[in-house]
Amino acid sequence: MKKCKLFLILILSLFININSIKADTELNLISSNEPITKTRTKENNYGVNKHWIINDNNLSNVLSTPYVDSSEKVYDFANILTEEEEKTIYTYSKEFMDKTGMEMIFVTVDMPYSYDSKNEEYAADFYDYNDFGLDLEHYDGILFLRNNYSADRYYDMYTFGSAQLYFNQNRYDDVLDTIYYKISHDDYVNGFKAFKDKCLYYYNEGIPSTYKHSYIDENGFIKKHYVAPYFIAFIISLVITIIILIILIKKNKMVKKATEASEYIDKKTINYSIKEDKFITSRTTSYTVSSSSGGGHSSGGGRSHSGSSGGGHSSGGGRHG
Amino acid sequence: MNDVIDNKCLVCNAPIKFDPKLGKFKCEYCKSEFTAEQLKNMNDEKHSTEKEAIEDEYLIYNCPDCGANIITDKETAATFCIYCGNTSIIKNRLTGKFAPSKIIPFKKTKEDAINAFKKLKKGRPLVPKSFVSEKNIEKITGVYIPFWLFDVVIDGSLEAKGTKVKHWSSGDTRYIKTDYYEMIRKGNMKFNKIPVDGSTKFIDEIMNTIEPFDYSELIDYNHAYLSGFLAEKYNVEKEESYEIAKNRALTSGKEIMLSDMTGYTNKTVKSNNLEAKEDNTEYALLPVWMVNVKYNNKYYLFAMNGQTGEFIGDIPLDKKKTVIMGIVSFIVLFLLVILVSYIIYKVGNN
Repeated sequence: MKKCKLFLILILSLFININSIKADTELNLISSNEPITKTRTKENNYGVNKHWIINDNNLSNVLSTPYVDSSEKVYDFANILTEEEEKTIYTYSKEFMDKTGMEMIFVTVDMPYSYDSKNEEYAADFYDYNDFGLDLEHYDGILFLRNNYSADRYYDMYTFGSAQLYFNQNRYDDVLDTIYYKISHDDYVNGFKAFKDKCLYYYNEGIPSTYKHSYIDENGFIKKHYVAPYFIAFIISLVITIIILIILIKKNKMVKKATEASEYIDKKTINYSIKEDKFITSRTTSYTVSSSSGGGHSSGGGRSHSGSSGGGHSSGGGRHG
Repeated sequence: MNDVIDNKCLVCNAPIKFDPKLGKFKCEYCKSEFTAEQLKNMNDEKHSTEKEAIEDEYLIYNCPDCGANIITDKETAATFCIYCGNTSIIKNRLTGKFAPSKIIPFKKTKEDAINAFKKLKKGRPLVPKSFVSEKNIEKITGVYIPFWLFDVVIDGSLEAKGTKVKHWSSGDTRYIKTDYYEMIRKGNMKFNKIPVDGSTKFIDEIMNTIEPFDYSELIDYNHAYLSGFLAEKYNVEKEESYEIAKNRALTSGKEIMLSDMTGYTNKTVKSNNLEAKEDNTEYALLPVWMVNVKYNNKYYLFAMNGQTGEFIGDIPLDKKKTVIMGIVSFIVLFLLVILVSYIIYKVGNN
């Protein structure tokens, strides 16, 4: 009987241990905050519910892109945010979406890269091959990417659909520069708050003059509406008309006073006794033409780029730090 | 001594005229043709005339053929009798200091001048439609105009400053190198036969514009070439005319020396010590057709180089046409710019 009791205690303690190990494991999973990913299969069209055509050229990009729950909005793959921070940041995203009708996605990764464009490719694929902005006309939204790669930390913002129209290069620069200190000092909650506030500010400012006559086409690229250049046409036509009239009027005025006699020169008689070209001095000046804007900025933002999906997006240019 | 001479046919004694196309004198009655040399000794033989000065401005002569009075001004050296059409040459106005040394005979006829006038419309859309009508021509006169032909030697030096500018890039840096030079040209050159109109009757600018004459056809003066045409004697002295030729030669001399300084991006004259010297001067009669046109109660003067056919003059503008052309041109260009911008937009978006 005593043996039987001991056996029961052993079984019970074992069960308790197993449960405590299981509980520990579950606790560890929650504390790591890893985004829950789903599996891409042929049956679910590799998780792509947008109108992009999946083919041999982009299939590998699709499969290598995490398939996430699009309702989470904050995806901390680099595991640099606490659960509390994620929840706070989620409220920023929600606020932005409620006020603008556009997505706002925060993604962190720890991904080695050699060129900034790799971050852009990742961000574009992540947005395009998940269900972000699915119910919006052009999958409108903004994705903030933080690459926490220790050798060269980097962050940038990427705009999709109609969100592209709200940001010209100056606005991208302002947003990214405003949050530089906070992001580079890992103050992500305040950094993302400032990011959301700046984006909201520019949304409320409206579309800048750069894109005043632009629209987003069916593939998400910025296209310009045709705007007839009436003023330029007026000036050009006026100037050319005046030139034509002057030429025609001059044809009627043939009489001219002669002031020179070049046709009467006897070329054989031209005789030089002194013919001297004396070098006096030389002066060299130089100036530098720089294509970069300085301050560790990358150029190339503010234009529609094509992702592997074939859809368009724009990027801010990125910051290292 | 005869002051007025006329050209008579050596065969029938009828008045004869110089035919520009033949380059000879032709009798319209017996069709005989004569060279200038054949007629050279004819002028002082048969006719005499009585000269009477009534004023300083005008003189009266009696036509040697019909006896009618011919009134001319003081400068006219050859004229016609308005009754019988005979050419009268007032000899003393073309002798002595007024004796021309050279002449270029007319090669272009009155018909050539009329045709040239009619062709003024070609390539000139703003000419009034009815302007070039022959009926607007009030008078066409073939005139030998007195010209001074100056040979001018330009001698001296010209100093200029010049720069040569080179641009190149290396990486992001762009360089501009400016080399500074001082250039000197000293020497001389000769301008041959710069023509200056020696009569105040003719507008200098018009005479300038019908230049140049082909001097290879300049021949020794002969009274006989004047028949059929009017002729004038000079009333601007050589010294006064020379100033015009001198200034033209100095301007061209400077330009020729400057153009010899090659390879420079910019050139500016530092000092100009060029001087002109009169080398040789000839007094010549050069052929010009003067065409008087009356249009809308205004008078317009045209001139044609009687040798080369260069026809010049200021043509009035058709104001209505000018406005219409301006508006049409503006509208067409405006639409064209809009169309081009639309095509560029379409090509850019595709």
